[in-house]
Amino acid sequence: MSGRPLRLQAVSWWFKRGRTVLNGIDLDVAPGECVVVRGANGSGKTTLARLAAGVLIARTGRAERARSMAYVPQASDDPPVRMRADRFLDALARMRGTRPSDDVVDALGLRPFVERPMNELSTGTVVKVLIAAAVTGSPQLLVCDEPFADLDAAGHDAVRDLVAAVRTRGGGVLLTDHGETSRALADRELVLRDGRLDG
Amino acid sequence: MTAAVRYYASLMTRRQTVLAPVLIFLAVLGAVYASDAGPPLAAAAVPAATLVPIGAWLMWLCATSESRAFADVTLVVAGSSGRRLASRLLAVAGIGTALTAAACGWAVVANPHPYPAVVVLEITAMNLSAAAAGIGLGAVFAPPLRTTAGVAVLATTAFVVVSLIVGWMPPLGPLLHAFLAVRPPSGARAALAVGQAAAFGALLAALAHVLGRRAG
Repeated sequence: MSGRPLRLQAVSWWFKRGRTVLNGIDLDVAPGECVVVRGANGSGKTTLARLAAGVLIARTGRAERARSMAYVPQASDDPPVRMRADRFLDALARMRGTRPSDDVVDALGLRPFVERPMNELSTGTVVKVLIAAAVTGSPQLLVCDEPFADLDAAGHDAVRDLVAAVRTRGGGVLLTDHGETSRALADRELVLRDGRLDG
Repeated sequence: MTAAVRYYASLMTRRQTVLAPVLIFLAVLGAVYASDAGPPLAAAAVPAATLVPIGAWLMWLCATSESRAFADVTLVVAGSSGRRLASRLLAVAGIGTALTAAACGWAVVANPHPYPAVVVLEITAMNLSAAAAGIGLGAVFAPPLRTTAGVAVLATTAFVVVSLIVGWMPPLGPLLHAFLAVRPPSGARAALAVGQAAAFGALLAALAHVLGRRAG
């Protein structure tokens, strides 16, 4: 382990039918650093985020990441889970051996929604629940895949606070984004194009 | 990992679709024991064989109880794809155990034949190992592997039928042969068949893990 929250070395990923999405990616996220990766639709940002989070195993290359990690995936219209939001947060906190934070639930404006089934919540509210779950873990590496896409102002603030908290603890952050919102958070911006990262 | 197992068990209990395989299994029990079902082990063979596709079906339902994004989050929180798979397997195994208990209880109550403790033990082992094999089989077709529901149903059905017909093919061939063809069943042979079926399930689960890691 390099001591860095995230280190990807010559990492590649391709789908079974042959399309190469990532081609020899090198990426280091230093302690306290926030790296923002931009790219067009279909450029491979989500694949990169899933690789960074350890959900995907690189076809070639090497990935090292902090043991304590949180992942906020891209918003999706798929029905998430048939479970109340507070019970989901509780379940994830128990898996981590911690307790969910009431303060974060209030800060995100989730209080009116926590007793409702997740499959009845709006896409943005589901992302807020995932952010609340990420905060619970006190992660050393935070990977967020287009977190601002479906969030309101309270959600944007929560992501900023979460990023700041991880950086203050000496952790690293990898964000993927389309828009300008993440620009203020970035220590470094990279562009994903044709399977490669450009500075 | 206990928390992850409880999480998946909780998701399963919230899915109404889980009722379908459970009710089908109970219907099979009802049909088998509606009248004198004959010698205990022969009668128990039908529900035990049914537990293979039922176990596979339950495993599919467990693996599809969360969207891909949420499954990714669970993987990250659980620590690895192996832990997530193990949590799913154990959650479904809990239901398999409950169905085994139902099969044993129903047989003892409804079938007018003596059920000494050793026979109840044999029926339990036969059902549990069949359920384990089915759950492992289900893992091979369930997400994160990209198998459609239709392919999974066809493959599972074909597998169960072939395993019933071909005597040496685990899990059902050796299992049913050990308990039914040899009277009274030889303890060593029955234990071997039970171990074979359970190992078969574990092998399939390991295969699912390897394939799932590659598929993402």
